[in-house]
Amino acid sequence: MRDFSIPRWLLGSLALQNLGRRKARTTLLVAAVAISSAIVFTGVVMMRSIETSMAIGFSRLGADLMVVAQHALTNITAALLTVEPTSETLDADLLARAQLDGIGRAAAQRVFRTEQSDFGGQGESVDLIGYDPERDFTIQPWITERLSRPTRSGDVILGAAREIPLGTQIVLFGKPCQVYAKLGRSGVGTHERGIFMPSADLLALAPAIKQQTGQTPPMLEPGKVSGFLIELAPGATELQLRFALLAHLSGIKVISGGALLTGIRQGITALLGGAVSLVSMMFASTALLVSVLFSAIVTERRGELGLLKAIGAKRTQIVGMVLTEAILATGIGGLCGVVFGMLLLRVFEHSLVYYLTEMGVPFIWLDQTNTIVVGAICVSGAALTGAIGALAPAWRVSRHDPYDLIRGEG
Amino acid sequence: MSLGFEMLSCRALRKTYQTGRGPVDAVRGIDLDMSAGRYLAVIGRSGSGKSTLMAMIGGLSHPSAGSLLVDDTDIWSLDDNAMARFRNKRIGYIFQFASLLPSLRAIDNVVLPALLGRHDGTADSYKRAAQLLTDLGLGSHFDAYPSEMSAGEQRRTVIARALINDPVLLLADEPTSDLDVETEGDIMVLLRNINRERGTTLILVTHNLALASEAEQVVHIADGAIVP
Repeated sequence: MRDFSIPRWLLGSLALQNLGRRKARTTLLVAAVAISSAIVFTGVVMMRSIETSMAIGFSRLGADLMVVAQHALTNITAALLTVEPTSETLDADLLARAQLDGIGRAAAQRVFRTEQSDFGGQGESVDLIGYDPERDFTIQPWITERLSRPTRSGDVILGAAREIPLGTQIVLFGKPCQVYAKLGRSGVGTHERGIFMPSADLLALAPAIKQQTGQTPPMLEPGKVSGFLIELAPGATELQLRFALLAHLSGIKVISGGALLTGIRQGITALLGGAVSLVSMMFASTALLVSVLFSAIVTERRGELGLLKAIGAKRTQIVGMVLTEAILATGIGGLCGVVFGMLLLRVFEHSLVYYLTEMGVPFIWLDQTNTIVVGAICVSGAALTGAIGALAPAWRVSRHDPYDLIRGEG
Repeated sequence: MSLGFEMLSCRALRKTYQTGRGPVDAVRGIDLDMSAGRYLAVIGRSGSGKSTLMAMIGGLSHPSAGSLLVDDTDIWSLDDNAMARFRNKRIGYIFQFASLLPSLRAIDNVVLPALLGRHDGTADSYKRAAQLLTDLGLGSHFDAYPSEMSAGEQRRTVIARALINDPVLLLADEPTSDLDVETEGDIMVLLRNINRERGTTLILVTHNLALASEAEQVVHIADGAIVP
């Protein structure tokens, strides 16, 4: 008897052979799924990246509103709202007392400008800025580099214009401090040249400041702050909150941030929600496409499927064979789409993202692990979509009598 | 040769197709009995209903009415899976059309019913398929694809596939309709030998009276009914 090879997966390989029999149609199906998969993959990775970038970027945009004492000086032309050094102060519990609904987050700051800090050259003007680490949303998002340890008392953060390496010991009013982190460039003077520290640390310097200058600055009095930076609560408008603040609190000045940027933030958040719906519709339309195509495929192959039933194939085996074929085609399409999507992302990286970064707009790519997870979900999603699309035609054809299928009447 | 017990018993078997022009009776109340191991020829003109009768006997087409016992089993009362098992294990089919899967080699086509039924290990099933092909004179065609074989070789491959699970009933629906006279003779000898040597009950559908002449039992069908 002659030798012959025994294939391992004869029934499974039937599906692959069926796909190979109609190369043009299979190629079109794979291409259609690949395009959908590429759009979904690229879209999801970009959306997630934009989400991450927005979370950091919009935090970096600072506050929507700033509340300072009525006669305090403010820089109203800067894109980033910052409290300017002033001797005017507000009560630290001012906003807590008012209990206004439109306030999402509020961060108090103490800003003290001095030429007697011992820092830098003789008589160099330095802004010491105290912030609440728990509530801050305008300073910490700008950190670009930091020491690889948790923060501790005596740590300071330097603005981007200060050319001092991380870990350097500096002295402020005779007290040693360590440069823990540095901020990115913001283009706003106070922000660029400031020395930032938790308010508790700044308040702890008060006795040394008094000893050196002969007085305690008003913003370093317990219960006093230079001003508040406010982020609107979702749904609140800048105008509403401004009126509410002025109606409830006296002796204050309310400064608006970029209303346009606030609108963009709210708009993009809504757009992201819409994009999720579009991705769902993309999967649904692909499932419909696969369903229509596999209706045609099983109709064309009624004779073959009828023959398989006639020689003993169970309904589950018939359905399994058709689904295997669909899963293979759409899974391959999904994989091609992810590869194509990765190429698209490379193009974006060298064009759009490059220009955004050049313009100083931060763009943070989704990390590698999550990108792989999104890719795997896209491939599985494509295969699952194929299975769902082919299930109805496969189930329908499996119900017919073999003789009807063989005669072409199924 | 008769083994004494009933292989087939049908009563008032009927098949009606619903068409756009109303119902059409393909088979009209057929009564038929057949003992195991015998050779029955069903003859009749094209469209007389003999293939439809064969399809009902073989579990390929639901009867519209009547009762049918095959190998003592009321096959049309079986559920889907049991029916699939019955078709796979107990019945061998030889169709009147080229019924090999074109993308599979001859030996893969032959082994397919065994793999679908998962009766034995894959290697044992392939050994049996190889033996059958060798017995039918196709020992050098294991790796041949249907398109590389003659019509006669293809038909013998189909016969090997029908025998792979050692069925009790072999149904041959016009198995030589598209073959030349010499090949037709070879195939008929082969089927007759299977019936005689293996004791496999054979039902042959044909419109060729000469082919039917060797059968132990002949049923003539016209217009969906048995002609006395």
